[in-house]
Amino acid sequence: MTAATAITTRTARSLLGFRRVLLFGALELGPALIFLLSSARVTTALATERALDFAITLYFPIVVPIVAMVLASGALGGERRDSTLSFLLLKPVNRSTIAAAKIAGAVLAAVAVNTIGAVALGGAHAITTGSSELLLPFLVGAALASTVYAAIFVPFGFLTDRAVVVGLIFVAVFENGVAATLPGMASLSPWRIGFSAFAGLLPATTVQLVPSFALGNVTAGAGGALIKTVAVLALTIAATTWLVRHRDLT
Amino acid sequence: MTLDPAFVPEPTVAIDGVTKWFGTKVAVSDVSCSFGPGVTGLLGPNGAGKTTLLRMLTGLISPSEGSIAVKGDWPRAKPAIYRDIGLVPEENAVYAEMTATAYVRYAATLSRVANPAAAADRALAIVDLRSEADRALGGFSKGMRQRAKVAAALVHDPGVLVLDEPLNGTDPIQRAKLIEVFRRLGDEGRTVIVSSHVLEEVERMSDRVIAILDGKLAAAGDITAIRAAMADIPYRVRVETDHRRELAAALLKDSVVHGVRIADSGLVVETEDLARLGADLPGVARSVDARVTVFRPEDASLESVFRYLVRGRR
Repeated sequence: MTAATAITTRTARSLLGFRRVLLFGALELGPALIFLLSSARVTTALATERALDFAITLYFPIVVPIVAMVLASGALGGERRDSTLSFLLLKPVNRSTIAAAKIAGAVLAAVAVNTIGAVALGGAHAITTGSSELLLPFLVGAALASTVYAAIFVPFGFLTDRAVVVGLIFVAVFENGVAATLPGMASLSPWRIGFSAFAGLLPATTVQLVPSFALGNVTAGAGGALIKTVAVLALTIAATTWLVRHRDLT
Repeated sequence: MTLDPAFVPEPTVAIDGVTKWFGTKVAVSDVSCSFGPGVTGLLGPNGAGKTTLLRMLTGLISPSEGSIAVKGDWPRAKPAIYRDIGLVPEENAVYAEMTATAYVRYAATLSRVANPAAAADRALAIVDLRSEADRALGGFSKGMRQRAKVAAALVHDPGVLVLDEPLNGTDPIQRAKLIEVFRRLGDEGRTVIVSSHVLEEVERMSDRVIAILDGKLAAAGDITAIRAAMADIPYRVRVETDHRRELAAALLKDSVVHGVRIADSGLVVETEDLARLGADLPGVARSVDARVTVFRPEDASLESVFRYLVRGRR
């Protein structure tokens, strides 16, 4: 096993503690359960419309960010708080490898947990309508949005113990407030990167049901979302490398 | 030409004019010294700056001024050097959910050891932790955690071993075993730096001592020289008795007593030989029919010894 694999595996495992998975699992299943209860006897079109509502109002703007931010901010920040980070930093491993492996571990954990919600919502829609057209968009959208949040919150969690609080305020005030009313700001909203991939993978008839505030000025499309995600990953790996290389561990 | 006792002829670790301040607080002030093969004790009371110095030495924090070189480079600037450094940090932090085996194997894997499983097994055997190796570290006592940390620091066979209060929390038997391990590693030609605030502990591990107080170099060199310097320190002992004046007069006749002062309910006796005063006192007290209720050295702490040594260096 290489050092990078060992750090990634160890990070993902430590972030996915039993109680945490149980708690986040319940949060992930919540939207799907509410959807099932509210869409039991509705038409296919209405069920799809409701599934999109759940994606736009609950899953992408609330569940995905919360899970990814909480998990990722503990990847380096948790080790700093627990004083175990010196163990890792005193090993002959390139700082960029440590940064990339930590982010990879956090991304794996966030994607794994958010996949529960994606499968649950996509599955619940499939049960209700008999069509699995939302499953892949949910999976891809959730994976990309989780990756972006996780990548940002690994270095941010290392910088401050209040990363999650600041993140929640950012999501509530900026992403779900400012960016929803000012379309030009939507491109600065991480969950909209995932949502643009989600929208881009929807059938043409379904994508028309997506309200304009959900995407703002962001173009629907999985390719563009993937490029943005890779760019965020590269930037955050560079930032994290700089931090572990230059920041004192007092 | 004689070498300053703070330095060794062929250093593996060199500290040159290092200062570290946190805000307005100076933690380490203009320390210059070096370490070479063998065990060196870094001695100083709690809060003296030992941990800060060791953390700078290993690259965890950067010096505000001065430079540090381990085998020619500062580790943070060249992480490959960590292949030859092992650190046992002072804090009691380990990955609580990991077993001792997994923890030491993880250290071996990150240090690119060829066979992590075998190396971990060997390291755990050295610290006598093999029988508990499959237990989670969270359930370990403080002493067992210390031993697991020592095993993780040893697993990649480093040439420089930095141990920050490694005997904290260990029982006397384990302490003796670990001291034996550290001495052996030193005898094998490794540079072993062990910090402690207990002089006797350092004395058992090392022949050479670097003493730190208030972030400054207080004393350096051979442990026997430090002991000799300490022998000149006048100790003050508080003695409480029901016959103060009579006992004071009788004590002044004892050759180890430098002076006696009557204070409050007792006496303050000055001596250079604490042990002999303790031995003489019962007989002296009997001779004047005095009953001694308290015999307490007032300033025999390591800190006061260091303060004395610092004054001597200035």
